Amino acid sequence: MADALHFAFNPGRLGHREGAPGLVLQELTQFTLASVIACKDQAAQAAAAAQRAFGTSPPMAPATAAGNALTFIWSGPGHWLALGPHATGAVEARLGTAFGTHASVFDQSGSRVLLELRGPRARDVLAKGMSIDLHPRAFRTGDVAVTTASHLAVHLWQVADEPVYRLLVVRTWFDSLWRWLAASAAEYGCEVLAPAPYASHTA
Amino acid sequence: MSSRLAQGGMINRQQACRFAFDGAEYSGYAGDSLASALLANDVRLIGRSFKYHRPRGILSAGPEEPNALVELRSGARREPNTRATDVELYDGLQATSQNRWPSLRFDVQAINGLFSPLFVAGFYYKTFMWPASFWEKVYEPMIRRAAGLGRAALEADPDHYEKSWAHCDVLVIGAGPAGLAAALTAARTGARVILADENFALGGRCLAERRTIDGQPAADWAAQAIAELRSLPDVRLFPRTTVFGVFDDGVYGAVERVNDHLPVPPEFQPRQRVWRFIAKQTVLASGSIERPLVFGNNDLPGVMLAGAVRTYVNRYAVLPGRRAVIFTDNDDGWNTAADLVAAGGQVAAIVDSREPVIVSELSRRFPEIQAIAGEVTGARGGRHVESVEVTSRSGTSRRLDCDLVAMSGGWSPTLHLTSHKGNRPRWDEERSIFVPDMLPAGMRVAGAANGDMTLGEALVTGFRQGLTAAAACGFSGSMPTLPRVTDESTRRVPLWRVRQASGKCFVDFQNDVTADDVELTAHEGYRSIEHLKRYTTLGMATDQGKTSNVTGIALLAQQRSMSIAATGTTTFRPPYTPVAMGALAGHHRGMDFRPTRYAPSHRWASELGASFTESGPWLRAEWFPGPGESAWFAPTCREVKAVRSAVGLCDVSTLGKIDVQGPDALKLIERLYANNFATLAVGRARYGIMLREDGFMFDDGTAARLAENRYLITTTTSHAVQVYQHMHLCHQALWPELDVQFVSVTDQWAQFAIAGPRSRELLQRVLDPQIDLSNQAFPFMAAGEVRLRNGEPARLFRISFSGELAYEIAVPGHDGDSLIRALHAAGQDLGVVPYGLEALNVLRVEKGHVVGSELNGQTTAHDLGIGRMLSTQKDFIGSVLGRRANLIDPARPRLVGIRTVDRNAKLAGGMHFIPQGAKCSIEHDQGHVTSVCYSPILEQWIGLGLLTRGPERHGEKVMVVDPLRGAEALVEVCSPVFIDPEGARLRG
Repeated sequence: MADALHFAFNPGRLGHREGAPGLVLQELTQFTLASVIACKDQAAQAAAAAQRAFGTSPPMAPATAAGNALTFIWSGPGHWLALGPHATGAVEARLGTAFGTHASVFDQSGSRVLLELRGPRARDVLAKGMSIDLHPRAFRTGDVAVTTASHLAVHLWQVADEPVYRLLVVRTWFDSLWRWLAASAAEYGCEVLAPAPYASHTA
Repeated sequence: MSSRLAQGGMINRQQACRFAFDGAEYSGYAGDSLASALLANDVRLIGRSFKYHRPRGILSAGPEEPNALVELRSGARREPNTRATDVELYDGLQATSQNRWPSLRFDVQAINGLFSPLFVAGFYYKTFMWPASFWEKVYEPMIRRAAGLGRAALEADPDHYEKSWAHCDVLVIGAGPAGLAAALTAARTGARVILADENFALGGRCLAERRTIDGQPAADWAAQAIAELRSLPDVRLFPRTTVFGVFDDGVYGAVERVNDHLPVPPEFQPRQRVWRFIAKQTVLASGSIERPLVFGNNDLPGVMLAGAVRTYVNRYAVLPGRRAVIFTDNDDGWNTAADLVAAGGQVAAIVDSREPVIVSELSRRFPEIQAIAGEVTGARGGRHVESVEVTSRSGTSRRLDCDLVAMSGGWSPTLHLTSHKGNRPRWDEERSIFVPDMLPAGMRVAGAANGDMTLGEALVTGFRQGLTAAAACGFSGSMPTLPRVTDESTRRVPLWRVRQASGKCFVDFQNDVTADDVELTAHEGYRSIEHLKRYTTLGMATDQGKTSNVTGIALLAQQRSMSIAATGTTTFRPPYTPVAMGALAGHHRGMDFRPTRYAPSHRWASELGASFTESGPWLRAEWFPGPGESAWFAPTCREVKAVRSAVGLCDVSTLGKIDVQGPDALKLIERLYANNFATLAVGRARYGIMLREDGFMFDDGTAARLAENRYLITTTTSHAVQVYQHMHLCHQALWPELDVQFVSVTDQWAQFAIAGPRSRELLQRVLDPQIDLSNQAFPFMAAGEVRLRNGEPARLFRISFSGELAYEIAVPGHDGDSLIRALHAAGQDLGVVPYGLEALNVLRVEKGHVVGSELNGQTTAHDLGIGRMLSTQKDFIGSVLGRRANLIDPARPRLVGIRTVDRNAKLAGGMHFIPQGAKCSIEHDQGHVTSVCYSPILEQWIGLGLLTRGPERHGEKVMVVDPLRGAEALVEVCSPVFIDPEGARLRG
């Protein structure tokens, strides 16, 4: 059966076929993503700059903060991922202007695959490869974890209480992550939706 | 004939299960174990013993079973050494006895029993000593065949296994009365609770004993407790789940037999799932295991543990014998007599080894049963017990006919998990049991596992420990009203062995270790309990001595006139019961053994039929076979020639890429690289080398200055992660004062080499036509931002690994596939070819570039001919130790090129340099060949190597030899740069 689990990542229903799928999965495309790293001793100033430019202050602890054009995802002390819809104009120039000398900006728009996961068994599926506690008492909407899924480095954050998660994985590792996800979701049934352009979550 | 009772038990008589044992068809019920179903069908002979091939039956009713091991299922799903006592019966189950030939009833090797003096303690060491040449060829295979357990399946396991994590406040291990009580009080506080039990039915001894709790049957109380637990949202119940190990930081390993109770798992479901339970607090309520008594032929089928007899009678409604003799050294054995009588069985006698006054007091409760103060000295029978010899304390002997012997040597706490972190249990002399002493952090013990043996104690300690555990997690609750129970009596006077026994007296059934073996070991001078285990094999194999350890320790202590406390125990280690390797591997087997990393051009390359090879975690194209081409040679030669004469395309995205920014970016770069970067202008790239602290080569690559304070550095594919870690260590630990920021952008950029004399032409076709690629505008080692014809941004580097006019172009990762297709399509009329790793290797060997074979951790920059690059103007990592005299000694093996003198001769990597005429031996060894290839340009085999004083020896002829594969060739030493040493082509 191990080989039978080698599903292509195409829209459609996989695994158990009856009833509602336990996991609903959708790739989000057309986003911009950048690493923002505060310069030495400049984290507070960088946060203030983001507040002025984007209407939100990047979190100082593992959490996400949604601004008017960008969501900041905590990635380490003084280190964030800035995620937003695809926009013309180089992301580095746009963010670089906003942060000035307070932070360095690195375009990562092509480096990751972004997935949205939901469904009644989403927690159970993720627990098959993630050691962190996703119980609502431990991990809530707005929380982010920089961790591993099936031994692969990921960012995971929760965008709605349902729960709905978003997950960023390095592009060249995506196939291995998907093989694990597909195998792990198979017993509950998995619905892969057609990819959709990125939008910040508004559920 | 059936031993199934007409009524009672926790079996579903509406749901029959047909099953087969050794090919014969039987029937049982849902709720049966395989062992109970076999007993119900009067099948008593289940297997043959390990060493003597003695007939063995069913000893226990649980995970401690040493005898009734079977092979389950068949073909690829065959599973050896499975305890029939733990197997949940299902319709269609197939089991086979093991370790017997030709059949279970007639086993040829049972003759081993006649030679048993040869098989005493340490028989491996004593018997198979000489001649030494027989060890591996004769003795080992013979022992393995004779003393085998079951056979593993030879085919790949067709089922899916997986792993998962679960977190909780309180983990309760064991769902007997203590565990249920603990789970109830913990869960009622609102704490998150996980309750796991190895059995398919939760309830533990509540299901096996005729006891009442608050006036109702214990099983009903358990059912109510389970129903309440099920109703609570933050309680997870795990039946069929063995917690097999305790690990650091509150992590418990468990295996859930998700679908072992079905012939084949339902589609998409795993057979087993390994859990990592992460618990803040744990209540261990794993109960206890009964000890056998040691008398003659105590291993005959029909001799069972007394508590197991009660389990079969009460839980499974099976009478394991028509006429029983009870042999006990404690009060609990008498309960078995009562239960047998209540079920309609006949009890021939209770033989109690204690003082007559105790026996007569107890016998007042059972006036109808003959009670004997004395000992069973031996059991008699062929393949099943038929009678026992009993000697009373007054010395009279008699024979009692029976078909069941229920023995009880008292109960040992199941405390294995308390020891997994290195703690050893403490001997409690008064109760003659080991009890938990120091515990793993966060663990508490309740009920029989802690030596609190009665039902009442189990409930009280369970309630209390559940509450305390929850309180330690910040949840408060109160003790419930204690249920009414009558406490049973647990008095015991230990009888470690029957002295006047006739026949072999087994201590460890699974390993055929007798009381005499243990005592012989003591006489031979073995003092440590650990040595007893290794010498006799007592406590080894799949059961790890669950029924035998304590008795073995007691017998050794007696022989050495030491206390049991001073004798101590061996160490319990995970797993508590065997765990299948497949379950531990989970999803990660076959091609999922480890993650695979796919280059951006992978889909395009596979459409072209590329052959792929593993390169670290990456899967990279090694060559692209053309029409009629097979294997590696033809496509590689064609690809190399195309790059040298036209243009080739190669995915080089796998190189590590690190973007460095900040006011101190140059400072960091200067300290990391051994060569100068201070003079590098914006828009230019430079080759750079990094050393380790010890002065040896670490990695090489390029650094391009993208802006005043911004550099993009590249690493080799294989060292990408180490270089990135190294940089973080340097920045965070050595130079935190540097204001510099950097991240890996390896995945952000899909990068392709466009190499060959027509590369500029091809590139021009995909770039914005405004971009000037002339030598003046974009010379060798230029770097900059460009735009594609469609307006999308890209980065361009004029660097060359092949020695040809070449570029590397980078676009964001998600655009890589479309760019490589565009390049391939645009260059058809230019003769563009995709080339793989093999051609890449030939091109770089022809050009004398070093890779991992030369950067092997043992070479210096001087060795590789790039010592002049080491800066003397600055400090950098490795500069001090790299100047050590031995590291710059010209006599070291140093990089050279070699070409065969005979143009038809072949070379192989790893060949050693030996001077002509010298003997091929270590003292004449002058280094080795690091890389070889067939050069389609030079039309002969060439190579690179590390040769003593190599650069001084160009033109000299030396032998290269491969004694391992018996090859040798005469080669001429030359410059490592075979093609275009002036570099005219790459600047063209």
